[in-house]
Amino acid sequence: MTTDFLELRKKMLERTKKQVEHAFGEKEIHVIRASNALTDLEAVFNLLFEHCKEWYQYHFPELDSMVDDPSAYLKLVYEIGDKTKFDEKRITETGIDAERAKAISEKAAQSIGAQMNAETLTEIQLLSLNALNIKQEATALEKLLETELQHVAPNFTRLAGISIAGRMIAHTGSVEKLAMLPASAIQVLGAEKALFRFLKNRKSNLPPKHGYLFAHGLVRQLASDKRGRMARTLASKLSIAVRTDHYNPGSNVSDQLQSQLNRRLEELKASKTKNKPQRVFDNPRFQERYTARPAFQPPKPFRPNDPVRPAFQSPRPDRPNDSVRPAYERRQQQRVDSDRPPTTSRPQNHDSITTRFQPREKFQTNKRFESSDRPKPRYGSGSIDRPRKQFDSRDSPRSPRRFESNDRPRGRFPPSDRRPNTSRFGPEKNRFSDQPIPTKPRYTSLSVTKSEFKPDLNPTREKFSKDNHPRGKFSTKNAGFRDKKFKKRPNR
Amino acid sequence: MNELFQGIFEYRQKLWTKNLVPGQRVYGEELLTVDGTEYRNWNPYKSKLCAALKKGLLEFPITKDQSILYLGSAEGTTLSHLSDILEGTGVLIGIDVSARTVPKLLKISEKRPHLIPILADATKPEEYPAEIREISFDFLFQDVSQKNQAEIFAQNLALLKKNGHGMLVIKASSIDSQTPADTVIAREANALENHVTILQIVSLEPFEKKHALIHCQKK
Repeated sequence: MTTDFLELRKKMLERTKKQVEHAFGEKEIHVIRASNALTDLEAVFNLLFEHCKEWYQYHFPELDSMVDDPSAYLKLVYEIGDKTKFDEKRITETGIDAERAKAISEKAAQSIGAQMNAETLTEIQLLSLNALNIKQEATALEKLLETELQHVAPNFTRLAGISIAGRMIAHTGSVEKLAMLPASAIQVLGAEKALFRFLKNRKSNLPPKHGYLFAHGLVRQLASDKRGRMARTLASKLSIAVRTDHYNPGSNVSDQLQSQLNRRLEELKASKTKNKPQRVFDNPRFQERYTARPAFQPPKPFRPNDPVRPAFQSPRPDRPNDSVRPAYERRQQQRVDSDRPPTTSRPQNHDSITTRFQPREKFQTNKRFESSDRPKPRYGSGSIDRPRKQFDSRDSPRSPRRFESNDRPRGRFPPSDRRPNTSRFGPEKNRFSDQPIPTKPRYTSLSVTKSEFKPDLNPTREKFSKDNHPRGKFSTKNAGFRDKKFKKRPNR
Repeated sequence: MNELFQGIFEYRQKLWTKNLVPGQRVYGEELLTVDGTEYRNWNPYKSKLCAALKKGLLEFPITKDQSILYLGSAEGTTLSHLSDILEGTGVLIGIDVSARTVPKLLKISEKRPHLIPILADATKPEEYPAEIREISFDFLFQDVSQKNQAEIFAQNLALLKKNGHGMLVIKASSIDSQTPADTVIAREANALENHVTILQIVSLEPFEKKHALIHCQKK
């Protein structure tokens, strides 16, 4: 190590240490930590209170209904405990007013609860003491959170309230990130599970109306069908507030925004809702599952020119007033309309990527990216051209395909050289070249006529009973999973 | 003890490096003493470089007395193994953007005199300290999970010497979580072809899902 280098190193280390010190003093850190701690403290307090209450019930059950506030209840339990000692003087000492104290002492004298020995009561009292201490800590932390928030984002705090403001900043990580969010994101911040569930399947899910904002006073006081509109307005005003706090700190817009929000609240209280709350049956999204009631119309015939497969005519005897056909019927109809053989070649969308990239001969690229990105096959009842696919165990959620070392070659290889181009799950794809890997043709005409093609020998049978349903005993959606499951069960 | 590359050993289906500071663990790894020398276990589930070696990385160009720039060093797991391979010689600069992980790096660098941790943003190599920018590095390693990973790598190539080797870990879900991983990685590789010659692309399954390590050389 040269002295030059050692000096450089010393200088750099000092610089790094100073930067870390500076970074640890940033203002939002304490907001985030205090908010997270407060959330957990409140949860712990509630848990301990539940334990205390459930346990003490056996001794003095009537007390729970007479005292609403958990802290007051816990104080009574801690300071008095034994129900024989519940006299008015001691109850008023804990802070309850005289009238209620009298009622409580009367109930205590007539209580139907059992006696408890002193050790047990002591344990309950210790639990309640710990719960009260945690509550005290939570209150102190809330005060700290309030002061920190006033430093960091005063307008935002005044509009949103301490707890929601703290949670939102903790969620995003900084006021800057919160300021860069669109108002719609602020509206659903905290409801990510519902949001992504909706985004995956827009047809049969509903979007969340509010996340953390659900707990806000303005949203909570409205009826449920108006909450969404209030949440939207509130989110847009909060967005303005937080942006002012970040980009123009020191200016006060909260008064103006608060008056706008109050006006909006009055507006919404006075308004009639446009649509009555829908039953699930009336919502068009769920039409498939819960059918509507207009007149039944018979579907078009399946293959009118096919002598073997007759016209698809029979209505469902159990649902004669159906106007909506179940999904598999519509799919059969689709197969008639698009009367093409299914494509088996890979789609050529990125033409330049696969051709331009040529690996060097010396170093073979290792091209296997397994499992999660395989295109998922669909399980249906099949057709003449495309027989029904057997269940592939890779699709089972119970046992996703794990990495198998036996069929994974290491090092250099051209695939056709070292081992035959077969694997348990189909031929290997050559991902970085246009040249296809030669495979045996899947079907010859002989094999199709012999094994794949099974004529419908009983065309007039009733199609919709469980035993001879073309799809089998289970729905397509869970075909693979339930196939495996039912193998072990007896026939019903 | 079978030596795969210089400084990297294999024993009982595990990879090991010679411990530069005998007796000290960096991240709770296993220590092994064979013939008087102490080795530290290299965990492929924690270190992407080790995962690449297990998956068949064909060339490992790091030898003694080399200068290495490591972007995204975090708590210094892989960095400590690189330090062992260099055996205390050369220069090892670890850059990370998060202040929370740097104190751990500072602690590691107390006993390893060639290691310098730096708190800097890898997207702006022009803002690195001037003394660091003057060094022409022999090897560049990047493991940041950002959307513009390839661009960060391309910008930092300016600090690499000519024909210097580089390794880039690509996390496909950081770039585009909807498209299949191999498409994303092929796209990034093609974008990099303008600046470097790609020597090998290694998938890191099952140690990391949808990750790949690209070994390349500056033109």
